[in-house]
Amino acid sequence: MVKAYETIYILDPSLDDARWDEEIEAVKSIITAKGGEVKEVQKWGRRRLAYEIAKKREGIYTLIRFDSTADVPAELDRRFRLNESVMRHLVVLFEVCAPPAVDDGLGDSHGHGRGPRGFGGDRDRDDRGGDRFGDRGGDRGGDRGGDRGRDRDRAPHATHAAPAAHAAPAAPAPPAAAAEAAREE
Amino acid sequence: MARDKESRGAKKKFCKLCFERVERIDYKDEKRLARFITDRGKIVPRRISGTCCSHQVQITTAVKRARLLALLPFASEIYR
Repeated sequence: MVKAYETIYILDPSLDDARWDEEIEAVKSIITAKGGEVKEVQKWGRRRLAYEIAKKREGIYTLIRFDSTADVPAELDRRFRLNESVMRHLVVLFEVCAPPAVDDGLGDSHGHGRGPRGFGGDRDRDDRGGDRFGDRGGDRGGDRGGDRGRDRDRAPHATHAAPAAHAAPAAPAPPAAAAEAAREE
Repeated sequence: MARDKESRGAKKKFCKLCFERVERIDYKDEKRLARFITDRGKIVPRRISGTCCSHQVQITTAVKRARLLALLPFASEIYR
């Protein structure tokens, strides 16, 4: 049975671009040799690793999406393990996922529905430790009880529009503005 | 601050991913996943984040895959 898979592997950063292409071709040929079909190749390039692997701080990332029978992932896995320039690899079933949180280049997920919750956008990120463990409330305590309920009720409608036009900050804005106004009273 | 919160009851938690209409979270999307790990790199439990069951399961597998690929840390640098 043919299924959609995707594989990501991290190559040693000391390899040059020619070697990188070579490795990609090698993987492609493994897939096609077994009757698989390469759908997409994404070259992420050199990226900083979240932690050190074999004394290296970065790695060359490649993503390959392919359709094949189950023997191809097994074979890929084996080959990756034999290949010493592959630092890490992952072969998983491909799933259609939500688009990544970043799209405005700011590295924050504004306009993705976080807006309606109010003015917390950036702060949420900065001191997220505290935020997450529930000691918000504090400075917002005040007399906003009723307003908060209203805010939340309205929220789903606000996001409903968001996917269609998520570049538009208009959708998240009104509740935030309302909250702001209520606080000033 | 804390007392204030207690007296008026904690704010109702809700699933951030349902709210954003994220059907499936991608393990490659480390920006989004970063919101579900603590600053030590642990996965935030549902009890704290308010995530719904199906999304928490997705987050868990996604974070684990992302860790394997060094997109997310197993443990934060500072605390290691």
